Amino acid sequence: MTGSGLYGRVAAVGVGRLQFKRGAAPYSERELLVRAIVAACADAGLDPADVDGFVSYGDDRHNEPVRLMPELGTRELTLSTQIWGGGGAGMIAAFEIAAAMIAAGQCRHIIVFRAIAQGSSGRLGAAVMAHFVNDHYTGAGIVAPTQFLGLRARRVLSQHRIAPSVIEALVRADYYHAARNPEAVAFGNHFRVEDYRDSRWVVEPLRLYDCSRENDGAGAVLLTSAERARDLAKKPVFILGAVQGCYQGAGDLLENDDDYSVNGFAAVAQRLWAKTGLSIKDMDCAQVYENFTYLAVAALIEHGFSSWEAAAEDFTFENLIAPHGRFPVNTSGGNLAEGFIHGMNTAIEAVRQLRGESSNPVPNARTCLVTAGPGAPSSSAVFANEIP
Amino acid sequence: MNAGSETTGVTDAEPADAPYWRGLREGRLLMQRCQGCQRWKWPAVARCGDCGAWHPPWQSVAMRGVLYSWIKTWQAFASGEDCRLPYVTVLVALPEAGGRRLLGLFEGDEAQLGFDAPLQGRVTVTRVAGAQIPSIRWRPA
Repeated sequence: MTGSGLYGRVAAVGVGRLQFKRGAAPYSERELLVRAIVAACADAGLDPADVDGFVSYGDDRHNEPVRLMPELGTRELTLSTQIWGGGGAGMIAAFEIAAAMIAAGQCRHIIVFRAIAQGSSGRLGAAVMAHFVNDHYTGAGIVAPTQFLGLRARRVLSQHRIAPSVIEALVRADYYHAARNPEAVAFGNHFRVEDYRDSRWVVEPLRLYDCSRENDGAGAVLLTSAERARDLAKKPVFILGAVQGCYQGAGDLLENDDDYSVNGFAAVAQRLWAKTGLSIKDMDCAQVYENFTYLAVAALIEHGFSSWEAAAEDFTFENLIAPHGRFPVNTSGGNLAEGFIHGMNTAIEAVRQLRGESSNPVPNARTCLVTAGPGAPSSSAVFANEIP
Repeated sequence: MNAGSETTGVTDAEPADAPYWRGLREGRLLMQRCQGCQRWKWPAVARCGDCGAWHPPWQSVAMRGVLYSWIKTWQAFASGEDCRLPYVTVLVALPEAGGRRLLGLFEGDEAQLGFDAPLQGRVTVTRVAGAQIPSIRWRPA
């Protein structure tokens, strides 16, 4: 299992992130992105002009890498790639492709990025929906991802009889971590579980607090080879595995997936653990993409954390919080409470946590699971600060 | 109308689901079933991925189903006469079409919403986002 193509060969060496309230970014989307990339390079001690590859995802429409060259001073562009898919499901697939290109010797330094500013790209929901929308959905009054994911969330919630305490534990953990993170939207927030229970319906069964934030922002992660990483400024965070995929019977099927009461990570989790030779038991923490709470819980269970039957015992506030929880999750606040740049915050926090830079440190953390958004094909990864 | 009859084939230039929309405009539900392997195909396909047959044909199906999932929208994502808040959207499984699921707006008594509740449909249009889209309205059977 070790020695598989990507295992330990590529490292994240820099992160950069800007985040503002939705519609309130003081910079254009392009400039937000350039600033995030420059920040990631500064974090690593690398000249931005030395970045030769770029990968994005989620229908990033305006930030084609060749257009970034004049502002970054790029000397030579060797990779300009985007992952298919309108939502955040492809976020880790972007890391997979970037890592494969570095491991294969095709590129030296790659930035994985996502930028979204309402002024440029419209409401995120509208941008995602433009990818999926057709008359089958619109004729049924569905014009937003919250709606078609709400159909799935109801099946997940009901078929698996999810106790409210399970969801509340995740929400409370997110807000607990965000309250301690000066960069989080909910920094200093005195969240109470009643805030969740009393929050208004958006799309039943989803309440306001079941849903992620919307922000303007840009996130960038700089990757390079494990060898080159050792010469840069910060402790490297290695990618042990990153996979993308789905099985037959899943996909963009007008809600006709064979297996519907799932988030869709079975294929991804199976290959992730097979390729790394690890399991959920080897993970010290997790950063889980939660555009919606029920789907995040499903993602963790589909990777082997707990089970539907045992969820109420394992998903407790005490278990999910740093520093001493059995399995800290979303240690910067997650998409619910830190902010939402289409999931880039999950990857960025994984890197920070494993370097010891998190606002909510997990003592002796060596490994972190990172999951991307729902929607086939989805993707997930194992990051680590040492190579087991 | 003969429930088992097939339509004429699609022309090559049409999207695979053109007969579905034609059917709704004529007031009926047509669903696609592969002539090679007998599987019901939804979303519609130009080629059956299971057995390789091209242009699986379409046949009439009764608008009877069971409730698979549903949502009630409280936020104004959509505009239009038929999307006045709050409104219920259902995902309906068709036992007569291999369990394939259709999306549609719900009308009638929301107290009857529950998994596997029997539903019946009628063809209409949905006025949403400035358009009129042929669609099926579902109500408790």
